[in-house]
Amino acid sequence: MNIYMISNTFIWICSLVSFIVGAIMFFKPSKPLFAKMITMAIGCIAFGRIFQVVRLMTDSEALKKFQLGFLGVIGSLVFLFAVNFCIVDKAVDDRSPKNQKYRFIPIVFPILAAAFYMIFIGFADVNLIVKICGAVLTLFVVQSIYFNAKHIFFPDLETGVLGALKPYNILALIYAYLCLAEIIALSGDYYILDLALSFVMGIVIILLIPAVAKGVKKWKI
Amino acid sequence: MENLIYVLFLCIVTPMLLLILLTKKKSKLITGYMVIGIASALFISELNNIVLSYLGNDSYFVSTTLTPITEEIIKALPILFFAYMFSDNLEILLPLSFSTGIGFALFENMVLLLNLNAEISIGITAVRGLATALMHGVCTAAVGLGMSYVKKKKELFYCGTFGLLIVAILYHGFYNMLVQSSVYVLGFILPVITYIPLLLRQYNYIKAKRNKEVEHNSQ
Repeated sequence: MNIYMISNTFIWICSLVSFIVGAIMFFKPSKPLFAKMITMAIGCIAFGRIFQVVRLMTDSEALKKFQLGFLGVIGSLVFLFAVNFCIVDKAVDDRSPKNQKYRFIPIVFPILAAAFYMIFIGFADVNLIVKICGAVLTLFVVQSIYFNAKHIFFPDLETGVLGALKPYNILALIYAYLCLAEIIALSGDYYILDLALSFVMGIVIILLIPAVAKGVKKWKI
Repeated sequence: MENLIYVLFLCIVTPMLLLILLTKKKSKLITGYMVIGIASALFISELNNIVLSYLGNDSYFVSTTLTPITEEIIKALPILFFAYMFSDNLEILLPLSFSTGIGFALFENMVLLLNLNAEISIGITAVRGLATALMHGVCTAAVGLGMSYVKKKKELFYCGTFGLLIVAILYHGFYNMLVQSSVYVLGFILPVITYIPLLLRQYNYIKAKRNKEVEHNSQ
């Protein structure tokens, strides 16, 4: 069993447990849509990771090429972005000029992500497939983390929802950065780094559901 | 014969088009979408040949990584079109989606088995026919099933559609990977297992509908 199999298996187990718990807690008519969408994001992670595990069983060098499990990561980021952009942001941001600075400050986070990509992948000596996959991943990461960061700093005195969702937004931000870090580790065959990242990612995914549950209690919108 | 694939296509599609002219609305739709599935398979087979030639004929990589993406997107497009333009009613979308997948599998199987030629046996044909048909049907049905729900929730539409496609692509990739591995039996069982809930759902729906009709008639 190689390191990549161990790391993907660990993330798969964590995301599967998290998805099952999330499905039991939130797939009910009375629960808010955003909780269901976050659970579906975790489902995408689980499905993508099990594909990677099975793929690695057939070929231990499989991750050196593009694999379909990558789409599971992309899917999770799409769902996380949609939660913040389509649901939460519309509920808490009235687009008034007085909150303008809270829309600009979070731009630092996607710029940082893009910079990581450029330094460690874009301008690095890695193969073209990794550069393309990294670019696509970074595109989805920056969309997702902008709104996660925005909702960490944005004042929400009326509904109080953002305060309750702060732990979720912090975890989702960390998750997005970990996705980027993982592809950097894969590009350079940094096995130990990949294993460490997968451990942290698994813990983050497990903690997502309790963090979302906290937000669900406060969601009266 | 050079254009055998097109000969095959015409042989299958022509009678079906004649049938469409004689059937009623729902049957017309189902047969029509089966024809669309067959046409999609023809398009995809040409596309896959081009991709294969660019990738040095690495058929394993193409079949486990690229063909699930191309095939599921092409199969999903007619369903997305119908759901968006006409109706997102599950009772219409589900048979249409399954029919598209079945049409696709029908043509794909015939082309593949023609290429195998001397290696064909009744056993291989039966297993492949069942497993591939179910796999393609279930994948496209999943998109149709999801679309009936996703379209009702605007916030879920884009990410939900993307998510559904990912599920279908990964499932298809799983199947292609398993059937080419030493545990190919698992690959053939997988579509059967995922077809059962669909069958049960349809059975329960028909039963509920009949009970409702009986109640209505007795009143």
